[in-house]
Amino acid sequence: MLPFVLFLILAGVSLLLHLEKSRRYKELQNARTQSSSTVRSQTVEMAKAQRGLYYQIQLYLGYPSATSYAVAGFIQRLGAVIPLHQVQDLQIDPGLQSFSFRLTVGIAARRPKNAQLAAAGYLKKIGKFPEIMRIELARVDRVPGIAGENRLRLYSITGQMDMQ
Amino acid sequence: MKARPLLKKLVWVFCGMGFLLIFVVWDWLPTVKDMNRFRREQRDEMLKIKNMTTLDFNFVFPDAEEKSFFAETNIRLRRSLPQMHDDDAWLAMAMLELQARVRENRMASALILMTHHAIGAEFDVIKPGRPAELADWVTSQYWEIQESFGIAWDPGRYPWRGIFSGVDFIGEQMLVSRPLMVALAAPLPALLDFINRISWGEARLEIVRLHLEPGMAMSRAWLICRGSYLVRRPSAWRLVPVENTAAGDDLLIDGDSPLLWLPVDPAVAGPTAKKELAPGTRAAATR
Repeated sequence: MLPFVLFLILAGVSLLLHLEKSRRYKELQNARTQSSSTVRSQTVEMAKAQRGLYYQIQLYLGYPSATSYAVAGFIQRLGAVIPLHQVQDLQIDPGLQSFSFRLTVGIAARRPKNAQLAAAGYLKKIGKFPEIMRIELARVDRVPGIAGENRLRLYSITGQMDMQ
Repeated sequence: MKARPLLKKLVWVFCGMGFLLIFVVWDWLPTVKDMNRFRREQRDEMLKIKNMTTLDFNFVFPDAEEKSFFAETNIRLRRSLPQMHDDDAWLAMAMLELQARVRENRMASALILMTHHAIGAEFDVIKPGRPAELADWVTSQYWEIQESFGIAWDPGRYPWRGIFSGVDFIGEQMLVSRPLMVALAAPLPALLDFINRISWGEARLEIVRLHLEPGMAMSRAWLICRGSYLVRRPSAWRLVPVENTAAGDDLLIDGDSPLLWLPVDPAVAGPTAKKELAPGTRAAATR
């Protein structure tokens, strides 16, 4: 008898929980219906679309000159923090609001640690540009040379910069 | 003998507890979890309704002045696209512009390339005798340049399609976007001035990729640019309209931004003015 009573109690609690769950689900459905029926008027949506298009057109109209200015300005500022004879190459890929760059610097040093320190110094200096969004340093390659002499070691600095 | 009934009772207790545990784990806990989730979602929905009602109340509808801004911007958009008879006409215009810019910025040598298929065959020799070295350098970068051309003329990567989707072009005009490459050798300050001004002309060239190799006396660079224009005659670079493309599909505009609820301010969102590079840093770049 006792097990049966126990089972009934447990089943009763389960039933109550399921009833409450069902009630809450119905309430949620009502809230969803109410939310979707809060129809934003057609005029509001049209005005918003017009404003959105306005800002996009402004972006389009200013984009070419903003991009070329940002790119040229970035190279100028790089020249102020890295000796140009160490820059092997620089590639810049502009996007709509930012551009990514890949800078290869060649550092001649007797010990790898010195070259690495110099590369890290450049990374730190570029990282201080306020528009920098992301920046990373990677070792690219070591140019062959005689042991004991200054060897050229290549480092790649990649990153992304805001154009705003 | 007394231990047996005690053991039996213990077994019953454990069985009962096990039964209870099964109920709790298999039924009660998931149900309570679901109930809490429903309550959270309901609260979010109610908050959404409240926000929407507040925003609807605060929405400022465009007045005559704002409508005039829209109209003016649309006119500027149409005017920004050169209207050409065919592709050759645009090419001639872009070439003339670039050549003038090359002379103005005193480039040591420059090459203009229309397509990656024939590097060396389509060079425009600005200063006879000088660009040979530059041509060799460009040839050595063939694969990188080819890849960059691919990016520039890939219609799928054209970001402005959405903007033009609502513009009625006059007559049989078609929207075209095509790449162009310019390679240059010059002292860095002059080169930077050229890069800064490359987009200032009628062709409105957009830089798609820039590759630069600075040198002590002479720096070298190649730029892959993209130009958009309208043509009347069939063009290989025509941008085929894509169905279901609405304005802003390619651009990051948040439809729920509060900015869209207020009148546009041309002073805030006006296009960037053409700016010269700062002379101070120009000197630094030459160090």
